[in-house]
Amino acid sequence: MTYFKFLRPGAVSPFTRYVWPVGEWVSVDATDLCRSGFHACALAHLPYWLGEELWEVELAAPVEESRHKVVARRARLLSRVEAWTPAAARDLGAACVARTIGHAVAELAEAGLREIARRLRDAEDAEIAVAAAHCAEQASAKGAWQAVTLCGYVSDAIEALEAYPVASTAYIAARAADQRTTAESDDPYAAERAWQAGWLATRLRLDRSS
Amino acid sequence: MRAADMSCDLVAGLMSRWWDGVMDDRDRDAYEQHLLFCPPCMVQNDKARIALTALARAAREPVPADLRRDLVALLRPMP
Repeated sequence: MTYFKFLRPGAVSPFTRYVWPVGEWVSVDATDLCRSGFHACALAHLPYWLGEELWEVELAAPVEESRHKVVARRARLLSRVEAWTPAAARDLGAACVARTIGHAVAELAEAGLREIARRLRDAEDAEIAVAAAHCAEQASAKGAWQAVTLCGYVSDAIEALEAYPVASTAYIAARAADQRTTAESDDPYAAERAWQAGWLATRLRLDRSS
Repeated sequence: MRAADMSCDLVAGLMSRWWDGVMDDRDRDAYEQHLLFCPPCMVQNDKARIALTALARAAREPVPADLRRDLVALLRPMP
């Protein structure tokens, strides 16, 4: 089974700054796997850990799976996923902005503010931030507070797309999903993350069995 | 706790617990995921990690004999 790992530039771990040797097995001898083991991702885990470099990683059994990651005592960094480039990250960010807009539009429509929703949906890229602020004002005047929140997320997502790592935009989209009044899923946050995992699998041609 | 529930203030208060490795798995995930989408907290965490690592290294070093003697002298009750 293929596992993945997001790293900082130069195959550096995002939190510990551990520099991974490429192609070499590395191991820990510890019983507390979560603290001392090597963390990696199955496909579904990837959106929670977005970073600059994406690598394929091999893990030696036993591999423990937790909610958002897998952990093993021995691991080997195999090769970079070359399709995960700054351009691909930017495209995912843009897709997450579009998803956030979709959540806001749906929330406005559900609040009975269909004309305002249409205005946000049809706004040109350069006008979305202004349109979101305008829609938030109008939703506020109608007391549609959840729609106001969702329009705020649209502004946040647009700002994050320009100024922050793609992890920020992806997180905002998941938060927006989680703030919908009516949700199609028991866990809208996780469902949005699953959508992002699907985007990554398709765009990067990742093995969906992983 | 989920990443969505973790504020920057909470993250700031948890840095030493994260470094000590005493957070449970769920809280640790939420903490680290927050760092990824919040660059200012990642910067603070990096600084804290470097400082705490240096402190831990210093704490493992044996105290030089003359410094130990001076400290013991300082701690003696005054006549």
